[in-house]
Amino acid sequence: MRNTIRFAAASLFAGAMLAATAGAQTISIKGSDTLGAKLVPQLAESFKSKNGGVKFEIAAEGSSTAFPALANGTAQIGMSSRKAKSDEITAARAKGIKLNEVEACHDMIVVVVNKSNPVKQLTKDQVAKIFTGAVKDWSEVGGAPGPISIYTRNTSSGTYKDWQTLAMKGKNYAGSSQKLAGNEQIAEEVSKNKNGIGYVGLAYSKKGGIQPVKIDGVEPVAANAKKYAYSRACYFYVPENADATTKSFVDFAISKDGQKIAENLGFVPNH
Amino acid sequence: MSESSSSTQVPLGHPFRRKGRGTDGLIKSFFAGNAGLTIVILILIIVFLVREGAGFFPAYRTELELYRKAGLEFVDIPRKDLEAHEQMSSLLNRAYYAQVNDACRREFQRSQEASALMTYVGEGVAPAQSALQRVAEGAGENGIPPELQKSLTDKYKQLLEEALAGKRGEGLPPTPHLTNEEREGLLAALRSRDPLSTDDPPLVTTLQEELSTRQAAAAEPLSAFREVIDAFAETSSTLDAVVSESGDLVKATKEAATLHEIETTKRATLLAAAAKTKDAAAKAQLELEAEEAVTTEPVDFKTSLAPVLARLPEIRQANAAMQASAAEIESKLPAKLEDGKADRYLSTFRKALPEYNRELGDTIAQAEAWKSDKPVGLWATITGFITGRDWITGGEWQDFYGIVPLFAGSAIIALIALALAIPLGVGAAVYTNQLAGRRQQNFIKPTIEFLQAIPSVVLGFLGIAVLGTVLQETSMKDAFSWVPGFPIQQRLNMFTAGCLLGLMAIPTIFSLSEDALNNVPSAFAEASDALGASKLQTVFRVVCPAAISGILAAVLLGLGRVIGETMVVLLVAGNRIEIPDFTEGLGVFFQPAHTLTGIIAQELGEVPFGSVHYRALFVVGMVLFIIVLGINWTAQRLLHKFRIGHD
Repeated sequence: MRNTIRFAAASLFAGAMLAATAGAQTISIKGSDTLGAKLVPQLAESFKSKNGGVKFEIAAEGSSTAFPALANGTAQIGMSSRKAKSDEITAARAKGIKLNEVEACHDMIVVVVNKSNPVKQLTKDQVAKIFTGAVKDWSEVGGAPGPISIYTRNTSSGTYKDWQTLAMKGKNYAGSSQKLAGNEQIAEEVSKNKNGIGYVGLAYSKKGGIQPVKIDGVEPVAANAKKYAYSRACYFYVPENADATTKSFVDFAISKDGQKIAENLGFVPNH
Repeated sequence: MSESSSSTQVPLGHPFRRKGRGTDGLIKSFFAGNAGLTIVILILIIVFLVREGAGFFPAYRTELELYRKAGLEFVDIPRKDLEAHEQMSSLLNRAYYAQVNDACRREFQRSQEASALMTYVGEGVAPAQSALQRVAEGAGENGIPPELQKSLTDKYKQLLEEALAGKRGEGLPPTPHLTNEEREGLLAALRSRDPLSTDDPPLVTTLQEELSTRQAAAAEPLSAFREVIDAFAETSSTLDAVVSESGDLVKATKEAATLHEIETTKRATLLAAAAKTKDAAAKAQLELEAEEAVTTEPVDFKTSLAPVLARLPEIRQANAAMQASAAEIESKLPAKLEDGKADRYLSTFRKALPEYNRELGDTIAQAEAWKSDKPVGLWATITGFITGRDWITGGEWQDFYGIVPLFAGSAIIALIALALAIPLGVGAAVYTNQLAGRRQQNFIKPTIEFLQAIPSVVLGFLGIAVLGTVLQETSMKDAFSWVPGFPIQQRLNMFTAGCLLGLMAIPTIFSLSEDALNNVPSAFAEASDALGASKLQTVFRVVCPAAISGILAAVLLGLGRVIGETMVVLLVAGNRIEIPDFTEGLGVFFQPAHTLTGIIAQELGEVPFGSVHYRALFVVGMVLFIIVLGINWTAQRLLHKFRIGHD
């Protein structure tokens, strides 16, 4: 009996050694849900098919989770839909890890209104006034009369903060705004409320019942990313002394092929 | 305790015998241990709550002190005027546009009906259309494979025909304001439209043009009014400029102060890391970095505040200009607008004018009396938290924690829930206990208690998907337009949440009321019967009054359940952080709101550990705890105080 166990353990150990020496490597990627839900898994699949033997562990639990994981060494790559804060960089540095920032791709935040809303375009100023509560009725921006209902993401979301800086010059949201958990929920409520307005990621703006709004005459489509007022970048954070496989994965992600995958998923490529 | 007192002797050789203990003693100490452990756990939870929450007030006070020292509070004084001015301008604008749009009602309807028809068909063909688009985009130089093109086009045509046939039983969306020819023309245009085209059919564009021409025509006679509005809106621009410039200054001051603090912390972190490192080179490197970490000087608030305070004369001037304009606007406004809604906005503006003037009037005095070095008292922080009307978090300017909006939301939802649950719960209890037959009892009791078994998250989904939608759609019907608050704008609102919570409170209230009625000694009812009272007289004059304390306690415990419930309010109440607008009368019940429990659930997940915001949520939790504790305590007191027939 004992011998059997010993034999099993020994063979397991030997197997593990073999696997390790054969170059099997696990890259652990943690952070943003925006990137980690679809894009990074697809990049990983594609990378795996070219470089056999690499394994991926992907955990998408929000941008803020990337930095502690990088600092502890439990992740080789961090995903973030915002720039790292200085205290996050410092915390990693204090543990001897210097982080490099890589632009993963761009994302656009699209203003959506109900499909039956005659308002097809707004100016930046009007958007700011609507979301800060200075404009309260659709008739003030050229729509059918009716009180504007504002739907936003909840305070912890990266998009909530990004929107505040991009669209509202850092001003506070209108008190009448309703905070919802995700892009899908915003699209759902706007599609149910003919006076609703909200913002969602580009990939969510094609849902039934809602329509994207032109901003300053610019249509929110990927081709207009440079002109569009509410574009933002998403990032990978990689330790400076990362190993070759990790580096080559990041290089692949920002290469033409990687960006093509991003584009197909509704993101805006870097080039 | 001793073995002699126990009647059961442990047989020789039994494991319990080994240490000379009896079974009784062991069982006793087991249960005593359980009770003790439970109490210890409860105490630990309370201690944890208090410890995490207690740190809030000093930390919030420090934040408020920085808010004052950096001068943000000073800039907020004229900023309030700007906000008030914005509200007033918005009222005038709404009056103006309501008047203009009143003249274009027909054009609006025509345009909207045409768009609705187009949208309806567009949604019908959307799957095939988007597939075609994707294929066309990905086709590249070789073009689309013909068989794919054909199958997709066929699918498109099929969907188009289905869409044009209309919904079963309802047909296409009605277009009462379009002529038959126009409707047919539009449908024909939609039918013959290229699958890939997203252009509007000619009729839709024509109608939109018609509408804008009509709007322009309607605006013509109102040009004088427009000028008054524009002139009024313009009066704030000077103050706006001053406020935004000084706002940038004070914000920079605050940021510099925060940065300095971060850098100091950074140095401490790096030094701590260096102290732990054993590798000499790494240690030297970290120490060097620690030395370089602090790059900024501590902020001298007095100097940085000087240019902001120096603008006081400008603020005074701008404020005076605004006051002057507010004083004469009354005479310039049209006496009455024809459209009822427009006139209502205008009279709201008139009514709000004195309040606006008062707001403008005390600005200068406030700004002059303001002092940057006045300390922020701990007591003021606490009362500010309890009576604060703003819960602003994640703002770039300053976070405020005021519990009133949350409390108002919780209270109104509880009110709605109790209004539903008390009659249903107590009524069902009276019926089951006093009037129903045995078989009915055996059916009603378990059924109502079964309601408790439905998980609240399931109930929440039900609320969003069914109740909210049904309520909203019903409220759109013209027959209900007399109900205050109808048509319901928001699908997620306090009324829906209250109804669901009421449903959840019914089993609690029912069971406990039923117990209370059961506890009334049968002698009471028998005596009443003996005196010749009818069954109903006995129930309402004797049994119910005797059980009233128990019923009240049941209601209170139901209230405790309603206040503490989280999932349903989080999903259904709409999460709007604003005190409900009571000027709408009963319509207030159909507004969205946030609650004490909802805010904790929504924000605690992702606030940085140990931050002020995090601690604020713990204090909200403590407030909730105290409220529920108070309710339970009152219920217990009620039960004991009026208990009859038992002692």
